[in-house]
This record gives sequence, structure tokens and C-alpha cells, in this order.
Amino acid sequence: MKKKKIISIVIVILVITSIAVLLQKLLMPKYMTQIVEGALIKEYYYEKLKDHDVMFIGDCEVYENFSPITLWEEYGITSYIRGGAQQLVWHSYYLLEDTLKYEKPDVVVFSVLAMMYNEPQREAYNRMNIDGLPLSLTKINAARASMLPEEDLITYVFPLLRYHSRWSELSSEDYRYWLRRDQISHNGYLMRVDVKPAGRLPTPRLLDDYRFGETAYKYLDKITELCKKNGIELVLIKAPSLYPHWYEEWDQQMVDYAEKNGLLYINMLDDIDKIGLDFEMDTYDAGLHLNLSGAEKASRYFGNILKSRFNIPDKRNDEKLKAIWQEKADYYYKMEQEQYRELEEYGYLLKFNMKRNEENKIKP
Amino acid sequence: MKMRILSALMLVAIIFTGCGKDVAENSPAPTPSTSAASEPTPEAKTKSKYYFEHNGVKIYMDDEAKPILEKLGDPPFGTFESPSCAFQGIDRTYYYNGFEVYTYTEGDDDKEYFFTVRLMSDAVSTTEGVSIGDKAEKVIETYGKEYTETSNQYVYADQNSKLSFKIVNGEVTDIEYSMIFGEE
Repeated sequence: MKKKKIISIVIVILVITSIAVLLQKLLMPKYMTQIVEGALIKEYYYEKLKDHDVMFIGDCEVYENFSPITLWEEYGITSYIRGGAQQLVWHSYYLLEDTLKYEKPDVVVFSVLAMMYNEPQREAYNRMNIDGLPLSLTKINAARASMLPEEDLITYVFPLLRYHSRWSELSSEDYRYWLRRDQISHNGYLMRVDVKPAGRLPTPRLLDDYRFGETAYKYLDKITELCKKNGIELVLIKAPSLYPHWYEEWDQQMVDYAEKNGLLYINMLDDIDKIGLDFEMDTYDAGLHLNLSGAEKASRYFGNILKSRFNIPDKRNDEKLKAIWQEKADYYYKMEQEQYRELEEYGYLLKFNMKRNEENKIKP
Repeated sequence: MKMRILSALMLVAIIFTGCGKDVAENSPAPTPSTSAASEPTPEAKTKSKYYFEHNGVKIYMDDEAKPILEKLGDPPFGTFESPSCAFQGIDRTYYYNGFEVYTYTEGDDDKEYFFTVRLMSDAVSTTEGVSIGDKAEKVIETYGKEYTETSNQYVYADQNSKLSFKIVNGEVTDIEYSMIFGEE
């Protein structure tokens, strides 16, 4: 009798857990047909071979501006971009900590634009950078470091507790991607082929204090330490985006930090001509981010530095890698063609223009 | 029977935990209609004494921008849009003759609010008459000594706004009205 009761309890717990897991999967945002940036963090865990020479961490200035496919095709460098929308320094630190559980890259590249933020900004960005992490102490610590006062830690452990109210907003996307996901990025690179030339940029605003904040430095120190401890070369990079403005005072602080810690710091804004960037053609949003042609140029330039400075071997003759990257390249060029087709048909890219989709009653 | 009731109660408890909060405010999916971090825009209880005026049109920080922008007319030098990552609002800059006006929106882009006015030349001046190129002494004569000095700037704050003068070699080189975020 007692045994039967135990079995019943176990069955009930299993059923409840299964229902809760299924509900959680249904109710969590899918980021497949809009705000696709939200899918980037989780996508890494679907990667078949988690063994990369170079790992990028940071905000949109990495996942929009560098193409791992180009790094492979031009230099035989394997790389992945663990970037997220407005990824802050503490997000980057914990993402790196989590990544190192799976692999140890030779080089980590950190986008320094995030140093401008010293405190959490929005829950939406926390969600996009943390929800995709598998449950672990790293994820819990990431949430602790990132949460706004109104957020609850428990909702990062059990996201259902946060997303249950989406039941009334569920769309066809939620059902279509309930139990599966499409591949959104190319090793973390979010492709866009559209063009919007850069025009006049706003005059840089006055800041009360041009020094980066203590919390930002604390986590940059932790990234530096983590890399040193694991024998990884850390590169600090300012990507060649024209806006937000990168102040000279900020640049100098990164120059000083790199010198003090024996790191390589590259401000690619100083090398726009050498990179060959033409902001009439190589940006999709007037200079904030590079489009595909810009990202490929930036990657060619940066790949050369990575190769020469860190002696990263060319692996293009490795048959196993060759096959894996050929598959990735095929998908890359397929998406490129698909985006050009969309531009021709609609005049814009469906995944990146929600408002126009609503106006035109198009469901991507 | 008890077990079934208990199971049902547990499931309901799991699903509806946190329902005490307002759904619209609490909805976490960062879609245009329901920004995860959408918060009511703070409104100053009393208007700041620092505001920019041009041709009789007053610009207060965090005021709704559209009606004021209509009065100012089309910006002769165009606009610049800076969407936040992943559609969490758009910052816009409107280029007028002698000044730039910056606005922000929350996720849905329905309403935009002023957060900065930057004076670009001596063709315009602050409401109290200080322009780029004026001496630092004129700033103090006009606004008093109740300022904080940081990064070569005299910063005057009131309510949700601040007025900053950058001083180089004793002269005003930049003037900016800006919103103090989080100030109510």
C-alpha cells in the first residue's frame, strides 16, 4: 500500500513537472520572427563542435560587425560570437564563464562599448542575455549581478513564473516554435544585407563624468583574470560603429587599461580607411552597425591581426572542420540570397521591421 | 482524490504565481506592444526652471515631444534615428538651425519625449541669454554660484533637468539642457 502511494506521488510530480516544462516552453518568448537578437545566447548550445579559436563577447558591436564565416574563409580561424542585445560587462563575464565549461578558446575578444554602462538598464536585455543560459550557478550569479530592483531571482530559475502572463498574448510564432528553433545566426553573427547610408551624426552629448564606473571595471577585471587563469589571450576592441559616440576620454581609459594589464586594445574607428569601410554602403542603419559587406570587411581586417599577432593556425585543411564550416557557409550564403530576395519583394527585411510588417499585415 | 486536488492546486499555484502584479506592466515579452521594461515615464511634479525656448516654443525635458516639434516645424537639417538594440525604443535627433533636439521613446514608439537640447552656435542662446562664446563670468552672473563643477562644466540642476555649460579657457564652448533620468 505504502509502495503504491509512493509511486503515485512520483507519477504526480513527474506529470506536474512535465506540464510545467511544456508550459514554460510555450510561454517563453521565441525570438524567431521578431526581436531575433533574443535567440542568440541559447543558439550557442546547439553548436555541434564547441571548439573555437576565437570567442567574441559583447553587445551588438560584435554580433552585427564581425562574421565568423569570413574569418574561416579568409584565415581558417574558427570563431563564435556570444553576443547579446545591450550585453553589459557583467553579462559578458558570466557568459564567458559559462562558455569555458564547454571549451577553451585561444583568444577572447571583448567589445568595450559596454563599459559606458555601470548599472543594469532594462529587464528585456537581462532576459535576452540570461534566459538562454542553462540553469547553473553561473546563470544564478549572472541574474544576481544584472537584476533591476523590481526583478525576482526565482524567475530566472523558473522563467514560467515570469512569463505566465503571456498566455493572453500567445501568437502563431509561440506554437510554431514551441518545441523547436530555427537557426537565426551564423556562429553568433546576425546577418543584414540592407543599406542605409550614414549621414549627419548627432553632436556628442556632454557627460558629467567621463570615467567608466566601478562596476564596469570590476567585471572587466574579472574577465581579464578569468582569461589569465585559463591561459587565454584577451583582446579589447572598439568596433567601427560611428554611433553611439566613442569619446576620446573613454578611448584613453581603455588604452591605459590595456597597457596596465598587458592586453591588446584595438580601436577600429582609427582604421576605417585601412579596413576599407564606406559608410555609404557598409551600414544598414546610418552608421550604428555594419551590414554584411561591412562586417566582412571588418572581419578580414581583424582576422589578419588575430592571425599575425596570436599565430592562430589556418585550419582550412582539417577535413572534419572543412565539412562543418562548408555546411555553415552554405547556410550563410542561402540566407544572404534570401535577404536580397526579401529586399526585392518587400523593400525591407521582414525579421527586422516589425512595425512595417504590422502596417503591411505581413506575418514573417 | 486528495492527491488529485493537491496536484491541481500545485499546478495552478505554479502557473499563477506573481499574478498579483499588473499584467500590462509585468508582461515580460519584449515585443513592441509589451516592452519588458516599459515603465511609466516619470513626470516632473513641478516644471524645471531650466528649459529651452525658440521662437516662443518652450522645450521642457521629458515633455511629450510631438506637439512641440510640430510647433517648431520641420527640422531644416533633417533627423537621425538610433534604434535601441532589439527594438527597445528609438532615440531621435532633430537638427535645427543652431541647436539639436534629442528625444527618446519607449518600446512601442507611440510617444516620444525630450531628453536633451544641445546648442550648437551663438545663433541661439539659453532662455536667460547665455550663448556659446560668452565668458564664464556671464554664466555665473546669470545663473548664480549654485552649480556643480565637473569635467570642465558648470552644471545647474532643477527638478528633472540640468543645464550644463562647458568652459574652455574661460569661455563657454558647449551648452546643453538634459534630463536627469530617474528624477521625478
